[in-house]
Order: sequence, then C-alpha cells, then structure tokens
Amino acid sequence: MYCKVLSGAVHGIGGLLIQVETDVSDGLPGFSMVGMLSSEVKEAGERVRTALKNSKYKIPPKRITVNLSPADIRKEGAAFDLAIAVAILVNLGYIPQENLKDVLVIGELSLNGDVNRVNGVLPIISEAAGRGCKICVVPEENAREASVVKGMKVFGVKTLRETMEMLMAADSGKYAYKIGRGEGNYKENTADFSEVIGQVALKRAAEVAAAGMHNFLMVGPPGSGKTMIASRIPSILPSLGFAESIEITKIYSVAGKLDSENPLITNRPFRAPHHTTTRSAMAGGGRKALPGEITLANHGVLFLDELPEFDTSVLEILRQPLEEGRVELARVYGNYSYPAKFMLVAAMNPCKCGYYPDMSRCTCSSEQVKRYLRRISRPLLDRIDICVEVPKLEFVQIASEKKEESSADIRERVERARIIQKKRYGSNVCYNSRLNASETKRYCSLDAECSGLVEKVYESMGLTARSYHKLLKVSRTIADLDGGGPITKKHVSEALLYKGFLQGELRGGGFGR
Amino acid sequence: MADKTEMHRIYWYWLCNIPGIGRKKIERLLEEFGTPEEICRQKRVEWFTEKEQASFEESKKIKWLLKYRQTKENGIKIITCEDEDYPKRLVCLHDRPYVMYVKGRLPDEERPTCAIVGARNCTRYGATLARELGGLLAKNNIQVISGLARGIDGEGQFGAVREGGASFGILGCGVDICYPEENFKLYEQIQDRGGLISEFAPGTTARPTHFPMRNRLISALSDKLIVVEAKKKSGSLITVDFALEQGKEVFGVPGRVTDALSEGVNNLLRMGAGVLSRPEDILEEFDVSNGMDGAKDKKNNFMLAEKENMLYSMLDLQPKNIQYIIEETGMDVTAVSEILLELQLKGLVLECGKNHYAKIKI
Repeated sequence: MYCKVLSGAVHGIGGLLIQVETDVSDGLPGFSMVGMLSSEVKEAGERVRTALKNSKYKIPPKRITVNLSPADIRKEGAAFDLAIAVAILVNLGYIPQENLKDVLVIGELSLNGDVNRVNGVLPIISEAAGRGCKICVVPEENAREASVVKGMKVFGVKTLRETMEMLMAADSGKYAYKIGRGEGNYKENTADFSEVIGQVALKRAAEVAAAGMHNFLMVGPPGSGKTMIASRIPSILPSLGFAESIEITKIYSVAGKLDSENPLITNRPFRAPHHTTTRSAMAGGGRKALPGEITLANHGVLFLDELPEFDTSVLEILRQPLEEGRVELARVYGNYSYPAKFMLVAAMNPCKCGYYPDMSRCTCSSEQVKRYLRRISRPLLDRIDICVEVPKLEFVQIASEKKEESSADIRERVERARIIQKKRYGSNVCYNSRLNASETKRYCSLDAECSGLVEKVYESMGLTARSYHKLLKVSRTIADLDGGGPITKKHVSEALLYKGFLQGELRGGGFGR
Repeated sequence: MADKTEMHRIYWYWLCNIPGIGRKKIERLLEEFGTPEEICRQKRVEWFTEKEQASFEESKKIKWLLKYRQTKENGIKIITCEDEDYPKRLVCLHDRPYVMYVKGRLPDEERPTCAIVGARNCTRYGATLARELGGLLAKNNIQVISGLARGIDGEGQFGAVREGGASFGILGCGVDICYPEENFKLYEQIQDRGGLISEFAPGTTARPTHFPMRNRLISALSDKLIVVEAKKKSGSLITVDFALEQGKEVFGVPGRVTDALSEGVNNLLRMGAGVLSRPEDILEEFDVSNGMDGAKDKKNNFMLAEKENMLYSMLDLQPKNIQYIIEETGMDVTAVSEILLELQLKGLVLECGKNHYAKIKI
C-alpha cells in the first residue's frame, strides 16, 4: 500500500517541503530508503524501526520502501524520522490517511521512541504555512518556536506514542501550543550608555551611526572606551519590526542558536567574532552552507574589535555584503543567497603601541605607523561612513561625578530619526546608509551654501566621489536627528568631522596637503 | 674638445670617483704627486694594494669620461675645489670636499645664509616654528640651508620656498636621488629656487654614515645655525658641534621642559646657545629690521566672531583631540564642528591627524 506524510527540510535558511512516501508490500522482508539521502538520513531506517518496536508497535515481516520526494534534492539531517515512522504506521493501518491531510510532521526519534528537537523548524513551518498547511506536529522543544508562525496550529509532542494519540484525535487541545505575539527573548539591556564616562564626541558619532545604520569605525588608544561603546550600540538601536524578527529567528533556527524557551528573537543581534575567525565562519559556508557571522548579524551589529588583526582575506569578504546587503554562497549542493544587512562597527588602535598621534606617549616610528595602517585596505576603509578618533580618558574624567545620558534617551532620538526616514522612503529603502547613487542625489541635495563649502574643502580634505556620497548620507542622518529638515551648513560641518581616516601626519610635517 | 679648465675638472672628477680609493688615499696621492693629472699619469702606485691597483687601472678607461659627460648632460654641475665658483665659506674647512655636485645653483656669496635643522620625528609645534622661521628668513632675503630631511629640515626649507625665497639642500646621497621620497615636491621646488648640493657622486644612495658628513657642510655653508627641536642624543647636535668648531653662532628654539623633543635644544640653551623666543629674534641677529612690525599687531586681529575666538583661544600649536575641545568649550559636537571648519577655511587651524586640530599661525 502506498502512503505519504508531509515533512520538511532546511535549504539554506529557508524551508523545503519534503513528501515522505512509504510502501509496504509482500516479498522478502526488508527496509530500504531512497531519494538521494545523506548518511544520517539513511540511518533513519534503524532509528525508526527500533523506535517503533520500543513504542510497542509491531512491524510485520514485509518489504518496506521509503522514498523522500522530490528525489533530485539531497536530503540531510534527522528531521524526517518522525514523519517516516508515522508514514509506516499509516501504511500498517494504525491511523487513517485522512488524518494526515495538510499536516506537517517533523522530529528526530530516539531509539526508545522519544521525539528530539531539530534545527530550522521555523523556516520549515513558515514555508508550509505558505503552501496551505494547517497543522504541524513538532518536537515539544520546538513547539514555541513553531507557534510564532501565524495561521498554523502547532502540536508539540514528546514521544512517538503521543504523536499517534494526537493524530488520532486530530483537534485534541491537549498538545496544542500558542505563543503570544509580543513575547520573545527580549531582555532589558543591562549595558547602558550612561556607564561610559565622557567621550561625548564618540557617543555622538555612535548616535549618528545608529540613526542611519551607518558603518562606524573607532580609532583610539587602549582604554578609550571603544569596546564598551560597541557593545552598547544595540541598546540605542530602534526595536525590531515583526518581519525583521521572523527573518532573524529563521536564521538562528537554522544555525541551531535558538533558545527553546524564548525562541522569537526580538533583540537586535550583536555578533563580535574574534579576529582569528576564518573566511567560511565569517561569510557562511561549510558543506551545509550554514549562515556565517555576517548573516547572524543581519539587522543587527557586526563588531570587529582589533580590526588590523583580522586576516585580510576575511576582511575582503565584507566588501560585497557591505555594498549589497547580501552574500552569495556557492556550494556543491546548491547556490544560496543569504541576507547580510548588518551595521559594521569596528575598533582599532592607531598604531602598534596604540598612542599615535599623542607624541608624548607614542613610541612608533613614522614607518611603523604607516605599515600598521596599511593592513586595512583602502576599499574597505572607503566603505566606512563614520570614523572617529578618540583620546584616552584622563583621570579627572574617570573620577568625575557627572551624570551621563542614558541609552533610553539616546534611543528616543534615534527612533525619531528612523521614523522620519521611514516616512521619507516608504517601504523601499529603510535607512539613509542604504541609498544608492540616484536616491542620494534626490534625497540628500545640498543648497548653494553647503555646496560651496564642500567644494572648498574637496581638495584639501582629499575627498573622493565615494566619500562625497557618504558625506551626503551622513549629513542627511544628522539633519534627520535635527528634525528632518533640509541639510544645512552645520550638518555638513559635523559630517566632515566623521569622514576620512588618519589623514595628515603629526611627525615630520607632511606638506603638500 | 674640452678646454684647460674643463680638463682639470675631468681629472678631479676621475680622482674622486675611483671605487675603493677614499678620501685618505686621495689626500696621500695629492701629497705625493701634486695634481690629479699627475696622478693619472702614474702607471703604478707602490703602496696600493692589488685591488686598489686594479681599480686604479680600470678607472682610466674611456667610460669614466663618458660618465662625466653623462652627468653634465643630466643637468648636474660639477664644481671642484680649484674652481672660482667653489663656495668661499667651504675653503677654510680642513676636510673640504674636492668635488661637489650641484643641481640648480650654489648659495650666493654676498647674501647671508642661515641653517635650520632639527629632529626628524618632530612635533607639530616644531614643524610650525620651522616653517615660520624659514618663511621669515626668506622674506628678508636670507638664504636657508638644510638637509632636506623629513621633519624640521624639510619644514624649514618648505617655509622658505613658500615665501619665494632661496633654499639649498645639502644631501647625504647623490643629487639625482630624492631622499626621503616623501619630500619629492620640495626636492623639485628647491632646484628652481636654489639648489641641491652634494659631495657624493650622482647615483650614490643615502647611507647612515653619509649624514654626519653632510652635516659639516650645512654648518659650514651657513652664517648662523638654528636648532628647532632635538632629543638629547640627536643627529642635529652633531651639526651643532661642527658649527662651533667652525666658529658659527648657534641658536635654539626653547620648548616645553616635559617634551623629550625639546630636551636637546633646551640643553644647548643652557650651555649658552642663543635663545629665539620669537621667530623674529633671528632677524635681529642678522641686523635686519623686521619689515613686518605692523603686521604683528594685525596678526591677532583675525576678525573672528565671539564663539570662534573663544574656541581659537583654546587651541595650541600642539594638536588637540576634538574631545578635549568639546569639554573645554562646553559646546556640543555640532557647534564645535562648525566653528572648526570655519577656522580651517580661514587658514588658522589645521586638522593634522584625524580629529586632532592645531593652530598654524603663531
């Protein structure tokens, strides 16, 4: 007899629906599985058989054939175990086929019949909901995650027997799960801007960067607060929209990083890979094309501390995503396009000893400084919108009792600027930093006074076409923080503060500038 | 064919360019045989080693004449110690160069000369002062001599050239080589407004041992020597020693006692060097009245708005990070950035390192 059960698999960071078909017929007793399966899927046969036996289901000595369709896509993972077991049980008459109509079954089986959690449930359920599926049966640990999807009835099960019970009484409320829309893993961020003493210029630069999602580089000696500020940037970023939350949660689901108690991700991601990170860890990859750091930082912050210590090849990977907000991965079993809309935040010392251009402390020679700065390629630097150099904190500042602004206050201003941007661009472009050339021309035009100003400093400040466009976008963000009116001279002046990178030299003059 | 004086020059050129025969041996040869021509006529020199003898014979071949011609064609003048043009100021040096190579011209005998030397890794303060001094001297028709090195040397010469004055660079390498590379623009400008001078043959690369040697020429060619910034053990102090040996007056620009880069100069001042507490002081030493008397008062009246003035007064010749400027003025980032930009456009302030600002007018 022929029976089928709907299941799903992860493809990249999306879901793919897989039809599990079984056939039980006379002939030499055997169990075979087909459908371009990876080894762990093939092993499902053993798991399913033992689980069925231990769940007290008797399997007659017949020829059982299992096919996972479509047959030309490679299947991986152990998420099909439960579906295969259910399909066999349908075939053996334990449950009528109609009960499985529009039902999605996912889960891994233990030898004793327990149903174990699986990665990537959310994208699969999303895909299924999009295709008309109404009910899904998932491991209990994945139930909260699955219930995020609208229009799906979620049933979480702990064992094979439970599954069968539930399927027999199709709308039994006993196993149903529902999660409220507002819930998620939102934690009040304990790291607050008010903990950072002084450094007004740095905080302001961070505020501007956050308001327009601009790429942000901090240069300064050790102890100037760069890492502190970076880790607090998520606390001033506006909250995630639901669609963004879902997109992030799907990515984390595939990467296996979801907390089963609070699976919906409502905090902006903050990824801070160590500088020994490899290329595939950064961009994504491996055989299964797992999302890399840049995808895990989607809609959030990617923080690279000690930028010159990163391998140049790893940094070069960032170029395409910074331009396009996506990364294309080509693997043996498919091409994947992952989102990578992150805000790049980087920190570095200006030289090896860390104190340039403070001559009284810097012990590096002119050549050493140049060599250190050369490690970061010009093209990467060109993609940084805001760059600020900060001094070390003086004791008198550390000891000061002055009250600092809190993240909440800064965030309020950032939110307001974001709303202005949203109104201006509609649904197309979200942030000022994402404007392309023609949009920049349209939305960030300068009046005569500002144009004249930029013209005067173009040569002397070594501006290029690219840095000029960035200047316009940053000016636009500063103007948005100032109420959203047209760009005026003071906005451009401030934007000029943030452009460029360690120009000029304090040693040996450096004329011709 | 070359005339008599030209032949003379060719012989001198040949003598000073035999590989392996250095100054001491040349002196000995001159003692023994008198003139380069006479030396050339010798087939063998008894006290030569095998190597030297071989080199000696090799050098007499025609290609040396061609090299000479080539040098001249490249626009490099060859001046020997017997020439009329040979700088009078060098004549009394006990180890004066026999042959000098010049691109451009030699300093005017009639006009006063002054050297500006100092540290390579100078501070912004030193750089600004060196430039001011160079400019001031140039405006008052005093020729500026230095070594074209990175740091104070280059800044002083740049200051002179910028004011349309004459400046001369004494190099520790051949005049056809620009060292350091970053001073290339200056290297070119000086050829027009003054000259590049070296006792090393064209094509000789810069070596550490060459610099003390050329320092003696810097002090010899100048009437007075100014040291702007120098560490306790600086190369510029070698130039000072030469100057004292040669009987030249030495001046220093005082600096902060906490600055390592002013330690050398402050020491000199303690030992009796002349003090230049304002750039104009050097003009008095040259008996030149400062034609810019009125200008000094005008300088402080830049027509700045109140806020601009306030911020400008917070700045220093040493660079300040914008963070400190914000704190000290109490203004917010946007306001500070606007004013700084204005001051930069007015040419009063320079962003000399990212987010670091310094005054550039004294």
